[in-house]
Amino acid sequence: MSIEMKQRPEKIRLNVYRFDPEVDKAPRIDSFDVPWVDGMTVLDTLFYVLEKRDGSLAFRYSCREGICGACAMYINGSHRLACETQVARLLDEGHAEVRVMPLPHLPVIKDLVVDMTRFWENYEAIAPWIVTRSADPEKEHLQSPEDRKLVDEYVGCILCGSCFSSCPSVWTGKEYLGPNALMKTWRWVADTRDSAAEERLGLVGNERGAWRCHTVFNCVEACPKDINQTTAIQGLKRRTVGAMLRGSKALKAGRKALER
Amino acid sequence: MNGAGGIWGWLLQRVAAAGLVVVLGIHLYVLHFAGEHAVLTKAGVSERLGEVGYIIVDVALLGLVLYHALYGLRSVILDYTTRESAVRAWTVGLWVVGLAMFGLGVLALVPFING
Amino acid sequence: MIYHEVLVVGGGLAGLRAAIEAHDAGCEVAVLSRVHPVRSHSVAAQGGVNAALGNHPDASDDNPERHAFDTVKGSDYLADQDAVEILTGEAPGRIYEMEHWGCPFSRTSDGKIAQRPFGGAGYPRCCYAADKTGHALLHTMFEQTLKRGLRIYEEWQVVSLAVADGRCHGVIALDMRTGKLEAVGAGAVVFGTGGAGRIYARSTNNIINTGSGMAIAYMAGVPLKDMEFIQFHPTSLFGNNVLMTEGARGEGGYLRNALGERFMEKYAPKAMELGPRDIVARAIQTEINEGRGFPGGYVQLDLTHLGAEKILERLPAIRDIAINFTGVDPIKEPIPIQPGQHYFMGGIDTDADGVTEVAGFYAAGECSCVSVHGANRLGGNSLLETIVFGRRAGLHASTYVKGEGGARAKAGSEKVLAKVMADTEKRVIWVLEADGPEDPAGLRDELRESMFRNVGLFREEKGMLEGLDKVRELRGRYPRIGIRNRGRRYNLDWARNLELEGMILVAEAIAAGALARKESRGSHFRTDYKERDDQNFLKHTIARLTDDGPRLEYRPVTITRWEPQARTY
Repeated sequence: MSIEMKQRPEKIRLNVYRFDPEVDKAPRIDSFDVPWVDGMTVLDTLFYVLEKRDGSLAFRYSCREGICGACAMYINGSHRLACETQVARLLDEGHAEVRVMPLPHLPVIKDLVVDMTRFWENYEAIAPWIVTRSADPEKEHLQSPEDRKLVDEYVGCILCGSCFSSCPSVWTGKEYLGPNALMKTWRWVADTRDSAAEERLGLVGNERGAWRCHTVFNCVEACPKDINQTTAIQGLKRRTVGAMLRGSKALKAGRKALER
Repeated sequence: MNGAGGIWGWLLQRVAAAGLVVVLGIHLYVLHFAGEHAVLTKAGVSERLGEVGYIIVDVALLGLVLYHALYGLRSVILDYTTRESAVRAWTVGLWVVGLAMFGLGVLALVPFING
Repeated sequence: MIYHEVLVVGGGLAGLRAAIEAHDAGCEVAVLSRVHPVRSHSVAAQGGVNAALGNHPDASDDNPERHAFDTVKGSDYLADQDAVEILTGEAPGRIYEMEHWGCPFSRTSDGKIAQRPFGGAGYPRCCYAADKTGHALLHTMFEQTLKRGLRIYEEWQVVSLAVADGRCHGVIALDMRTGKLEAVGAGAVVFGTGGAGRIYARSTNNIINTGSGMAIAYMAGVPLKDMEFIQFHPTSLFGNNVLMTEGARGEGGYLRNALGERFMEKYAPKAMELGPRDIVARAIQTEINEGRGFPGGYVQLDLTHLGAEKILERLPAIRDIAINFTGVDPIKEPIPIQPGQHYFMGGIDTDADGVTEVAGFYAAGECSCVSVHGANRLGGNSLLETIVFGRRAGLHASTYVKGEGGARAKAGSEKVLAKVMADTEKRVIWVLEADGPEDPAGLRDELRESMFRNVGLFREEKGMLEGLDKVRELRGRYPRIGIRNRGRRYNLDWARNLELEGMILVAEAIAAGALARKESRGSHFRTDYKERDDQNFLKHTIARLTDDGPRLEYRPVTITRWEPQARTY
């Protein structure tokens, strides 16, 4: 993982996708030479361009430490967070230049800023909040460390949209919930404190949901937080079938039962 | 699309896959390794299909392959639309195609069985 | 014109908590945020959130009163003790509430919320979710706003507050995606806009933490309180100053200088690495300044003795960050760290209900100053502040809106907003068209460097005068800036430089307050006045904006049960 200390070029060529749909007829790539700074990230190079070369460049940013999920982009052919990606690492991977594109298959608002509306709508559609049937305890719900581990991977999601952007079923199927919303459903199904597991399964155990996952694993490749969405989705399929074979009524209730 | 839509279909495809592993195994073994029928002849096939077990294997193979493949095809089509009317049309269409091909396949066995 | 009964500005923990409370109290609520809510800085909080739950075996006799005392002592007795008692008294309830809302806290072996030791605390009372506690809390809070179907204006940046005759009527905001200015009327406005860390070089903060909320309130006539108290976190990653949680020391990590010494025994012999942040940060900087640091200016945070299992379970995020940015794996090697600007104890002057001098205008979280942190905040108290005072502000705002205050604000809002819009438009369009010779990015860098150097960890009169001069010089140069992009849609050049003016004004309030406070207290450490002076300075600094810069006033500290004592650890 570590970056080797070696002789670096004095400057690096940055190629950036540019497109303002309200002005430009077609997208283009602009190239900039960025002076080398040790430890420089792709986000740093974008700020260099914004502040020193071209104030019209648009991109999202916030935490610059890989936890807020704002700066997911398509960098040198992979989904990555711009803030976490050191230019030195790209060079060590064999790239001579840096190439930054917006998240693929999402509408472009401007340059690297994409419209995530569908991503957020799908997230909201799975009722991503806890549902409990009995009154809350006076103190906390008890949950063993082992049970807490069941959700550990999935609560680490930063909602950056990389998995969603990488999924072929998302590209073609406009109604597909996508890997993120399904993984987040699993996050609640697996949470021992939640009491609506079967309703959730009913919500996603259909042609718009889990059955649209063809286990392509692009999401797993794309995830900057090393979450395995496909495993979660397979879990949903397995549990859905189990609930059906047991004749679960909650499964049929689905969304209705999860109304706010 | 609420409720339990698609669960049976998906489960059956998994079951069909497991079934295919078995009958395809038998099929390959009989055809290539059992030895007696190195060269395919009508007489040889007829002889084999004289046994009820072989008929069951072949019909099962046909049915499972058709279900598994057509369900797969349906999945690919559904990647492009999950509109309920379209899904229903495709599902019915593929069932018609599947049943027709199944019938045709079974008919093709008849001359050998009567051999 | 857009109108909402309660308008919350800021999608972080304080803002969302206020929005939820106002909604649950029956108000129509909208949240306006410059980034999608989950991108807010709350998400970056790592170590945890304090509450005297007593879940740790060593904390069975912990209680809110002890928590309050630790907080008051940590604040170097500048915190208002009535507010601190509210903070610590409501803490357990708020934490249980977050748990009931699904927050994935780490767990003890008997299934309770896990708690770890934290700096300046007498008991292990810092509840955590590995080292991603802010992330866990913010995502949970966002889930609850989705559940309630609250309207969210995403990527709208507020540029001014509409105030007339001491009453707030709404805000003017820039919709980043269209580049249009919009007037948003509101019965009550709650700011949860976060800190101003980016006024300083070497900040642990998100890039968006420019203090724009503080500046907007300040420019609208709302005073700022205790701005000279800036927290420097002892352990930020050498190189880019990303936070390395205090939880690393809470789990047993050591600090070592270049001689391999655990130098904290010189500075806080009892608490050692778990002294309060101001003391540990100064200790580290002293080691570096006196030549016992590593080349470049850092010391080491050593976790290697904790073992892989503990690090992977409890500190996975900082391990990833260390590997990612410096190539150091904390399981095998010590992490290079240095102090970095971390938190603003000061902010918009409010009471314990988020109430400000302006009727219908509220603030909560880091942008506000209640004050519960006084001169130095304890780790784990800022997340707590957001959920305790966010809720209280939302509740008070809803009461105000339902009373005659809301009706009055609504009645006047159209007229007031039209006038404020006209003034704001002039200023905003001026920036869009600015074509002077000054490079605004350069101005920003000069400001940050000067503030870090002159009004930083160690302060003295000469440096602070230089800092103040620098701020005033920058204020003079700002009108001559030029920007490069005249397009309206998603124009970062425009948006970033619009708020530069506010950063300069806030910096001026910091420097002026620091210069006038001739004592050392908590994070405000003066080499020319090394002692705390309760006789003259046991009081809050209130800064009001005038044409000649900040005018300072003072207000007594509320003391209920703990008389100031010497502060040793």
